[in-house]
Formats: sequence, structure tokens, C-alpha cells
Amino acid sequence: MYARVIFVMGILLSQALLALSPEETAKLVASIDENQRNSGDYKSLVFIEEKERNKPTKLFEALVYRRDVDDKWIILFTKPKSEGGKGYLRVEKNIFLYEPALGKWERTTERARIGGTNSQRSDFDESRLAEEFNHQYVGLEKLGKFPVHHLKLSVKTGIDVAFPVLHLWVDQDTKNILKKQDFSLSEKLMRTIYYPKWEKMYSRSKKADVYVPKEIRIFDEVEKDNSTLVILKEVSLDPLEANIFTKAWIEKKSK
Amino acid sequence: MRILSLLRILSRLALRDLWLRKIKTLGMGGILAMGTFLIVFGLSLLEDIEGTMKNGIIQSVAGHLQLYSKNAKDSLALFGGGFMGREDLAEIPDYSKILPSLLDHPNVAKVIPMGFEMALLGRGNESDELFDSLREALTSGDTEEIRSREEQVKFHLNFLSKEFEQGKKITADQKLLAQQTSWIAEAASDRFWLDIRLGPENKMQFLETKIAPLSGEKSPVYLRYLGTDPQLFQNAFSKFKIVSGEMIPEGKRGMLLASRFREDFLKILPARKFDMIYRKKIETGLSIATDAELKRIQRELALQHRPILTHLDFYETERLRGELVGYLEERKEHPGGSSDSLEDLLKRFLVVDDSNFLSRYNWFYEHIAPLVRLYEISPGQTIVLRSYTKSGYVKNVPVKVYGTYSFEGLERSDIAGQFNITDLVTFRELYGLMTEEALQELTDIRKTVNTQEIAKENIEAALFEGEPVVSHEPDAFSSSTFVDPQITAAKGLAEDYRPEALRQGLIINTAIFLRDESKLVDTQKELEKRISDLVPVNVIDWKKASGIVGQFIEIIRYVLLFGVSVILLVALIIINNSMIVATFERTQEIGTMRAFGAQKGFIAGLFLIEAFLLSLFASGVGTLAAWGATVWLKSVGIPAVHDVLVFLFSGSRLFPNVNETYMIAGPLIVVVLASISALYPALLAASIPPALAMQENE
Repeated sequence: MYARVIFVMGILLSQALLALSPEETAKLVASIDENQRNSGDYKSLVFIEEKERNKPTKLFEALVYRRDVDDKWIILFTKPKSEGGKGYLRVEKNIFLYEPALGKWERTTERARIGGTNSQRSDFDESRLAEEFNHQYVGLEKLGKFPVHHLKLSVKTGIDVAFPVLHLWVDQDTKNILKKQDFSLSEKLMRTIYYPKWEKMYSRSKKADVYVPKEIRIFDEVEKDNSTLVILKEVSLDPLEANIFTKAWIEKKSK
Repeated sequence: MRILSLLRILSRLALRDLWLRKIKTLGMGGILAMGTFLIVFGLSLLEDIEGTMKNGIIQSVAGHLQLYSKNAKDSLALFGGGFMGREDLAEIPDYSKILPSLLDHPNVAKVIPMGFEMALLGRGNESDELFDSLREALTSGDTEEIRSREEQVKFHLNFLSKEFEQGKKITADQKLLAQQTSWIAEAASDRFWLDIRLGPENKMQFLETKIAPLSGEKSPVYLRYLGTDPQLFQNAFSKFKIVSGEMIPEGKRGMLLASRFREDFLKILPARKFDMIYRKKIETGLSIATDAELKRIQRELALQHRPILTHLDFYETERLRGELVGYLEERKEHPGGSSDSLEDLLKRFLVVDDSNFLSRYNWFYEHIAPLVRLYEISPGQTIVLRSYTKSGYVKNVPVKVYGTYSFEGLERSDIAGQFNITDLVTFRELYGLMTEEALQELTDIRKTVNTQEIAKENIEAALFEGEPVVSHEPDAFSSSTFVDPQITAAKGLAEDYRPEALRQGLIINTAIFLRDESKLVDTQKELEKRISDLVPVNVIDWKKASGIVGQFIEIIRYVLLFGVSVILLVALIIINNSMIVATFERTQEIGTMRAFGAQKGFIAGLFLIEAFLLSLFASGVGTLAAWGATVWLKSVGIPAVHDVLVFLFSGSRLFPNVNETYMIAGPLIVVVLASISALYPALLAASIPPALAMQENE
């Protein structure tokens, strides 16, 4: 009996000892951002598979260009043929959609679904967790065979984000997110996202290594049968052309 | 001869008895009269409504029969099924396979292919439109055009600047407001316009990303469209008429906007509010002072100066300002000085009441409407429709609007005015069914990625039990580079199509007109059997196809018949009861009559004649009242005060007809039923023995 009590106490004590202090948690959140921060340009060739209840599965291949320093990105669809040349240009809080068949642009809201998928503007943005969220350490847990830190993040006052509450499961070893859950303001679970593959790359602009997710699996927790798989087939951190984030560049590229 | 004199005696006695029990007679007679009135007037009116509605439905979009796939998850409901959301109707993959069999039927006169869906109308705010025009002008290099657009943009910036100045008093985030004000000032500066000519891209991006969002967002408009063979549709449906513009030319992709839809959703807001008040106040006779809804619209109208101001350029603003000062001064409604801005004047002008409304309404349409873009979309314009296709992908399809149309008599009906007509080629593009070729392309794409299918239940074990999650670049000091794949931009749909394309390929339903309508039920069964051998289909009549509105008339009929039944039942019970009571009250009298030699039949006949005469007189009064009401309503018309009534009446008023059948059948039913209800009391009275009269005397 005593042995069992001592064992349980021991477990609790070890949990308490292993738990991170608020300063350590802050440091961890900052390091998550820092791990992914490239400080320069980014380009990737992504594959997106979108499943929705009672609807046919959608597949896309797209080029993603990003310049975090200016808060700009482009998504340019390459496949399938029917989507070829469609482009999204994000400049600050605006997203412009280009339809090559029409040769026209349309400004949409920043919360618009990208290409009719469950992806949102924030999914393509640079990680700014430390800047946008307050944090709280939940505990040390295991995800599969990986020991992870479980954190709860709540959005700071006055900052507008798609999901105001996040739960993160962060790999103890690499400080990369392995699992993320997005919650609404009323703390209703909206999405669960897994990041099972990361690639460590050298960034010339940062002059250090950065971690790039190679696979993202998004599960809609409201429409339970909906899910999105994102695979980053190619990634490049080389500088992009200076004038790339303009309507003119996309129009030229998708002719 | 003997029977006649007997009837005369019985009638006199019956009339005497009815007269002696005046109050009861009046009560019973009143109920019987009301029942007769309801039968004659109610059923006649219902038949008139059914007639107009039937004509409206058949001749607008339904035809006599509708055919659609048996694989549909929902029932076809042309005018809405009463539930929210898109109906799930399956496709008929190839119209050419069923058309010959349909036309081969001896009773089929015309077949019109159709398909219904919803699309989103893409639209930016007024700043987006202005900046698009400026970008086009800069690309064209036309200096005159650039100068004209520059003036428009500067005028708009000036307007925005004034609005933001006023916003200082109410905005909590003063820092953001100051920043936005500085953006407007920068965009309005001479330096900015000098630079935009030298290198437009950056400056245009400044306008499009910083200035455009300041004008707010327009709410999206959902557009219900009907894909068909436009020429066939025009020839088949007699109520169809072009209101403005022209018919879609044969072999051209295009759209006809429903006039009602355009009025309700695409008209500038102040005009819409003026129209709403006009309809309620002038056409229906309500008063702004007393009607709560009119008051609400009046308050909303008073705030609608902005949409007018944003449409005007500098010269139009000055001109309108002068005219408005004159108008208000003439009516001594211009206490302000001549320095009042157009905004102040408009704010004053848009405050309407019962006394000034008509004058303001007319002035608005004479002086303001010609200066502004009254409708967001007009004939000749090309619009972009966005649909979430059946293949899952989003599709944007441009389509030229050739004109607007309405259905004769249903111009004011929102229910009938919801279909915007397009050709089947455009419809199929927006519908976007997955083709075999597209499916193969997706399979090929998937193969190149080699994705792993993992069920969510096992995902954590599957993803995090195996390999380390981080892989390293082979050479950690050189990031990978790759060449962008070739992008082949998707081609848009051509403006022209081959006419035979309308007779081949996907459709959702067809309207079928019959040569002989009386054979509708048989033809319906025969067609369903005949076509189901090729493709499984449902064939339904116009009433079922119309959806909830078609069933509405049945509901009214059941309610009316139930009401009439209750009234007649109550009347019969009262007749029965009061006659039984009368029998007991008149025991002595009946006994005396029997003692004087009256036969049982005479006594029973007396009671039956009483009931007969009462019901005959009462039903006569009821029938006369129904006839009078119908004749009066035929002269003045019943106003359609609600959209559903506009649809049911096929117009803004219904002029009912006198129905001779119901005028005969109504009183006949009442007299027969009343006589039947008197049978039991009559037999009871007849069984009273003469001795009873003597006993009573003792």
C-alpha cells in the first residue's frame, strides 16, 4: 500500500520536476518560432490532398513562394490542368486571387479558404507564436515514442488570428511541433494537425539551420470526415526575384 | 293533388313552428348559411387560385410534367422545397439518349432540357472597381483615360478622407485611424501620381492593399441559375418575356438576369429602399407614421447617402448639389446656408415622411438615378460566376449578361423571379462534374507523391512510432534548389458553342409539354416506364414539381374542407338536438294532433319539412352572400399582400369568378344533410301516442 503511494507520489514529483517554468516555456515557444524562422525567402513545391464528406477527393500541386520579411506569399497552382495558373497573392492582410482564364484579379478576405481547401492564410504564414500568444505549460507527455512538451497558447489581446487557443505537442529533442490542436474562443476543438516529418536545412539568409515541415496532416474536428494532407515535395531557401510578389509577375508566370 | 295540399299544410305548420322559435331558428339558420357560404365562396375561390397558379407554374418553368433522375437524393422542387440548402439531384448523363424516346410519345409536344444550381457572384467594393479601371488605363497607356481615372480616384480619396475625419469622433483605435488617414493622404499626393506613371506596380499595390480595404466589404450575392436551351425555353413558356436588353443569341453563351432578382439584390441601396416604401405606401396604402416596418425602412433610407456619393465625380457632385439646394429651398426645407455640402443635403433629402415621400421618390428617379449606376449589373456586361463544382474544385466562369426577363403576371413575385437563365454549356461548366480524363489525371498526380493513407484513429501510432521525424539535407550547408515546373494556365470557355451541344450531354431535368392535358396521368406513367428502360427517372406533374408552393393550395383546400365539415357537423348536431328538445316540448301538441287523426307519417313529415325549409332558406342566404361577395371581389380584385399570394394569384390581384357548380352543389349538400339530421327527431315525434296528450291533460 505504502509502496504504491510512494510510487504515485514519485511520479507526480518527477512530473513536477520535469515541468517547465514560465520562463522556460517562453524560451521553448520562442525556439519553436526560431527553429522555423528563415529570415529570407522560401519556395516549395507542395502537394495537397483534400478530403471532404460526400465529395470527391481533390488534389493540387502548387508552388508556394514566401518572403516573411514583407509578409508576402504566393500560391500558384500547377496541377491539375483545370487549376493550372490560378494564383493567390498575399500582401499584408489582403489576399488576391488570379483567374488566368479570365485574366482578372479578385481581392478576398484574409480568412478565405485557399483554393476551396481547408487551408487558411495562417497556414502559410511564418510562425509567430511568441509574438501573438500567451503560453502555459500543461505537462510532459508522450506522442508515440517521442517525449513531448504539451503547451497551451492563448491569443494576446488585440491580435486577430484564425484560432485564438492552441494546444501544442513539441518534440523535446528538436523543439519542433509534432501535433497542434486549434480551438475556437469558446475552446471548441476545430482542427487537429500533425507534423510527422521535418527537414533540417541550412538557410543562407539566416546563416543557420532551419526546420521545414515536409508533411502536414490536417483533420477537421467539426466536419469529422474532412481532412487535408500537405506534402512539401521540394523546398528551397534561396533568394527569390525582387519583384516576384506582384500581380504583374503572376500574370506573366501563369500565361 | 292530395299530396300538394298535404305539403301546403305541413309547410304552413312548419313555418309557424319556426317562427314561434325565432331565436333558435335564427341561430341554426345562421350556422347553415355560414356553412353554405364557405362551401360556395371558399371552394370557388380555391378553384380560381388553383387555376391561376397552375397556369403560372406550367407556363413559367415547369411545363405539364418534369422528368429527373431516380438517383436523386431529394425531390425536385422548382420553387423551393421548404428546406434550406442545395437540393441533391442526380444528373442525367446524356440527354441525347432520352430525347428521341420522349419526342416519340404521341402526347408529348415539347421537351425543354434544364439544370438548376447556385453560384456566387464575385464582386469587390467600389474602391476595387475604381482601382481595376485605373490599372487597365495604366496598362493601356492611354493618357486621357489615365487622367480621367486619376480624377475619379482622387475624388474618391477625398470622400474617404472626409469620412475618416468624421470617424475620429467615434473610433476607439485612434492610432490605426491616424495611420489609415496618412495612407489616404499619401495616395492623394501629387508625388504619388507622378510616381504611378513612372512605375505603376508598387503604387497600384499600395492602392489595392492599403486603400481598397478601407471601403469595407460587400456581402456576397448568391445567384440561382437555370441552364437550358434559351431559344427553346423562350418558345415553350408563354409567360416568359424580355424586360430589358435582348435575348441570348443562338449559339452564344450568355445569361438573362431575372428582373425581380436584379431589383432585389443588384440595385443601389437607396433606390431599393425608395422602391420598398413605394410598394408598401403607394400600392398597398400603408402609412409611414403608423406602420412599424415602413418606419424601419424609412430609418434605413435616411442613412443611404454614401452609395450615392461614391458614384459621383466632381462635376456631377456640384451639379446635383445645386439642384438639390433648389429643390429643398422650393419646399422651405433648406434652413442651412448655401455652403452645405452635398452629403448634408442628401442626408436631409433622404429623410422622408407620409407628406413628402412621393415628391422625394419622383425627384430621386428624375435627378439622382440617372447620375448613379442604378444596377450593379446591366445588359452588355460580363459577370464572373463562381461555383463549387461537383468535382470539388472552385470554378470561375465569365458570362455575358444579354438582358433581363420576367414571367408575365409574376413580375412582383420573388418566388418566380429567382431563376437567372443561362445556356446549358455554361451550366455544365459551372456544374463541373468530374470527367474520366480528370479522374485519371488525379490518379497520376497521386502516384508521383506516393501518399500513405492513414485512418485518424491510428494516426499517432502510425506517425510517431517509427523513424525519427527530422531528416537532414545531405549537404547541410547548401539548401536545395529546384526548377519551377511549367505552368499551363487553364483555358476559359469559348463564347460560342455548337447548337447541337444543347441536345447532348449532362442535364438535371426536363420540362415536358403535353398535347392533351387530360391524359396527363397516363402520359406520366407511360413516360416514366419508357425512359426508365434507358435511364432510371422520375416523372412528376407540375404541382409536385413546383415544390412547397404547389402543395400550399392542397393545404388550403384541406383546411377549408375541415372548416366546412366542422361547421356543418355543429349545425347538424344543433338541428338534431333542438328538434329532439322541440319534440319533448311539443309532446302535448303532437299527441293532440295524433288524437285528431294525424298519422305517424304526417308528424314525421312535419319535422322533416321544418328542417328542409330552414336549411333551404339558410343555404339560399349563404349562396346569395357568396355570390355577392364574389361579384364584388371580381370588380375590385383581391390584393396579393404577400409574395406567396402574388405567386398563387399569378399577379398582384385575383379577380374571382362565380362558380355555378358550387352554387348548386353547396345548398344541395346543406339541405340534404340538414334533412338527414332531422330524421331521428322526426321518427321520435311520430312515435308519440295520442294517449300521451290526454295524460298530460290530467
